This record gives sequence, C-alpha cells and structure tokens, in this order.
Amino acid sequence: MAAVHGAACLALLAIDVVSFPPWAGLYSWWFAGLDLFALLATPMLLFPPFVRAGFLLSTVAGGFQILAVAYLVGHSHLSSILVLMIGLLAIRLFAGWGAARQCPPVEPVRRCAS
Amino acid sequence: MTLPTSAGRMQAVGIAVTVGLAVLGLSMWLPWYFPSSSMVYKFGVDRTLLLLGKMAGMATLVLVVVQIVFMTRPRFLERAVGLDRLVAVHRTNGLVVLCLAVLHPLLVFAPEDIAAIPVKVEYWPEMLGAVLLVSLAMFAAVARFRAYARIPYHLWKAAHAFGAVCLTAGAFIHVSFVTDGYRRGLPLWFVVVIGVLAAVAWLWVVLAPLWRGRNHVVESVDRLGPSMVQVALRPQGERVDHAPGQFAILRPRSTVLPAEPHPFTIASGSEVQNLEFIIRCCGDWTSRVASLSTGDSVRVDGPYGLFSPEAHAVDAPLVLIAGGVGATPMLSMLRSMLPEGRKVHFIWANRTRQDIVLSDELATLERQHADLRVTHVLSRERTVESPHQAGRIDKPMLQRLLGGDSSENALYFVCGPQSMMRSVTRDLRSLGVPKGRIKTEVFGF
Repeated sequence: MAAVHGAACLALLAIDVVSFPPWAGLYSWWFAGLDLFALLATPMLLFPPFVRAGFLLSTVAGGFQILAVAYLVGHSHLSSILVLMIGLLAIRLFAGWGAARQCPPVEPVRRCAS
Repeated sequence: MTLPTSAGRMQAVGIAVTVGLAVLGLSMWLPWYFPSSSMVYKFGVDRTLLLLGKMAGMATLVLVVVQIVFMTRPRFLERAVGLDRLVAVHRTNGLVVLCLAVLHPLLVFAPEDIAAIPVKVEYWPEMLGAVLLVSLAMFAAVARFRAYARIPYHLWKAAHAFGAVCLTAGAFIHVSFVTDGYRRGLPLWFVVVIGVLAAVAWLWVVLAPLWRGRNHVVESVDRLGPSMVQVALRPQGERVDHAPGQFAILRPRSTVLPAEPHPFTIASGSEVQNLEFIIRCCGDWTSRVASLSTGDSVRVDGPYGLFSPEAHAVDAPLVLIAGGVGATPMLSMLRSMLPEGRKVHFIWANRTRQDIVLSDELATLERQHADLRVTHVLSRERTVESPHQAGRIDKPMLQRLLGGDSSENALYFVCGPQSMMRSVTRDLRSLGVPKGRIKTEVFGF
C-alpha cells in the first residue's frame, strides 16, 4: 500500500509540475507543493507506529488538493488532466487508508483515569 | 467549598458570551467600515465576497486568540461551566477556526482569476497565509485524531503549545502585511490589543504551572486491587478546599514518575484534611503511581469541575450511577454528604466481585445510614445476591432499580466509560428523566 501511495504521489507530482508549474502562479503551489508533502509522508506508511499519522497527513494534503481542484473546476472547466488528477488522488487516499487499516491495533499510549 | 449557583453560572456565561460576540462583531465590522484599497475597485457581488472573506479572516484571528484565552483556564469561566466543558468548547472552537480559515481564501480569491496570481516576493503575506492554512489544518487534524494516529500525549501537548504560538504569531504577521487596512487608526489598535492579549494569555499558559497548585506530600499508597491504587496526600500548608465530586490536577515531584500533570477525581470527603485519589493503573504513567513513596512531593492544582451535588441548589434525592473507577466522585459524595441524611441510591457497575474496591467501607456506610442504598451491578457474574444485579445497566434494569426514585425528581450523577455514560443517559431520558436532572462529566484531556 505504501508503494501504491508513493507511486500515486510521484505520478501526481509529475503531472502537476507539467500542468501547473509552481513557478507559473501561486495557485499552482496547491498541487505540486502538496504532492511533495504527501510524498514526504509516504515513508511513514512503512513503519507501524507512524502509519496512521502518515495517513492523516496525506489525507489533510489530499483534502486541500480536492478543494483546489474543485475551485479550479468551478472557475474554468473539467479537463481530462483534472479527471486524471482526481483519480490519482483517490488512489493515493485509498492506499493510505488501506495501509492504516492493516496496521494492528495497540493499546493507547496514555489514558488518565480515576 | 461553595460552588456558584446556577444563576451565578448563567450570569458568568452570559457575560463571557456577550464580550466574545462584541469582540467578534467588532472584528468583522472593521473590514466593512475601514475598507482596504483592494476593495475600492470591487463592486456588487465581487465586493460582497471579498468583504465576507475578510470578515472570515478577522473572525479566525479573534477565535484563535479566544482559544489561547480558554487555555489560561479563566477562573470565572471554569467555575461557570467546568474545566471539562471548557476543553470541549476549546475543541469545538478549533474546528470553527479551521472552517473560517478555509473559507477566508476561498471568498477573498473568489472575485479574482486566482490562477493568474504570479509568484513574486511582494506576495509573501499571501504565501505565509497559505502555509498557515495548511499548518492549521495539520494542527487541527492531529489534535482531533491524536488517539487514532497514536501520538503520545506528552509529545502532542508540547507540539500543540509550540504550534499554537507559531500559528498565532504567523496569523498576526499575515493580517498586518497582507492588506493596508490595518496599518492605522482603530483597525491597527484592534490588532495590537488582541495581539497583546494573545501574548499575555500564552505566557500565562506557559508560566502558570510554576505557581499554580499547592504542595502536598504522599501520606500513603495502598493497593486496592490488581489495578487500583489509593494515594493519600497530606497538605504542606493550606488544604485544598473542594466540593465532593471535584477533581484536581496532580504533578508529582518524584524520581519514579515524570512530572507531567494528570487529572484525578478527589475521592476523599470534603471535610477531611488529607486528599485521597483512587487511580486505575491502565497507562504507562498510572501504572507507575504505585511506586510513589511516603514523603514524595506532589503539587495539587485544583479543585476543578462542577460534577457535584453542591453545584445544584436542590435538595432532591440522589441517584449515583458509576462504572468502574468512575465511582471515585461518588465515593467523595457519599463520604461528604451522608451526615445530612439525604436519600441516596448508589448503583455501581463492575465486571466481577473482585473489581469492587472499598466494599467494607460502603457496607459500613450503608449500615450506618438508613437513607443510603448501594446496588452492585456485575457484568461478568452469572449469579449475585439480591438486591445486587448481574448483567449490564440497561433500561429494564434501571426501571427495576430506581422504582419510585425517578418520580421524585431525583438528581442523577453518571460517571464511567463514555459509552456507558451515553447509554445510561439515553435510558434515563427514555424513562422520563428530564435532561437537566442528569449530570455527567467528560473526564479526559
């Protein structure tokens, strides 16, 4: 799942850098910038104690990207590139969720009770 | 200890809400009354969207400051709503802050061709705003899903405090430089005043543990069962004056335990000199509580909370429903109030007989006080002696146990695991108990 997540991040990053170059406008940063962020969270999916934290970070980045895509669609139109990006985003989120789901449950680190 | 009356608490909440709404209203009025140069060339819907975006931004800033002010645990607010509800408001307000922060750029940039904004150094306040937005979302997600992400509490708490100050400072820099609307006059003063308030509040949060609380020493540590420890603390000066059912935050100064603050309900009666705490050993910190030695120093900050019959000025019968270690506030109530001769029914759910602690003391109290009824409910025992019950507390069992209590307008105090509190509250409501008669306390930070 971590490999799928990483591959989806790389593919998205490549597409976003070509389609929305970060140097072309501030808005493009929402795509490639957050792809890079999610890519950096990918190694966390390899280590059980950090899998869920990695998925959380990837999901927040994905949430903003979905918002940015929706905003772009609202202002222009739905192009094939945007459809591809949405598909890859969905794969990335699903892979992160799958990795977090496979993570075995452990006792909470700390609870206070009296 | 005298807790404020319902009317006093409502008054305090009313004042806090009024002041909060006034400050919020002022912050949202400023962009409208003192328009920035970017609004001069906007008309109609575009101007409205931009204005709403700026209002959302200012509201975000004010609510961020409110978040920090809440964490100073203002005494009048804590006594009005209880620390647990203050923390709950802090959490809810955090989500409101995030929603407004997301809404702010969406509305501000709605009238623009956003894809056309170039990458230039002069847009650094906008870039800072974007970084702050993503950081805030991470910050909120980690706070909301800390348990899910298995982030240790002490690490999260330190990061949360540090992140809060970074985000707040960043937000003030963003507001000061992103627009020319806050560089003079009333808007400038407003930003400066709430900025100073945020700085003072944050310093208070960081420094208050240095002087908050009273010194105690460990008088005794007794094992009450396989996973329960009773710790008695003797005050080194003035005693902590508490009402039955309140809790305190303990910070031990011992070589065997990290000096992290942990909240525990006071199990002793309100009249006795020593404070007693019954602690369930279920975490890495609480498992080591039994290692405390007589004479170890403990700082006690409190009391906190409103989970007490003394917070409700009605002389009604009491029904105390506890699950497991949730019985500690009930024990304090029983130890404090029985001399008053008030009718009390204590229903205590545990798994097995072995999980019942202080059974001798409870039996003695029940013998000595005709108005006290104690019913044990054991979920993992097949047979129990009457009047005790086997199984889980549910609606038919409550109907059977309470009998006429519900018709007498009793006050119900429910404490235990969250799922149990939810189900018991639901069952009591379905039995016709008014919501205002059911008191619970969310005990977890």
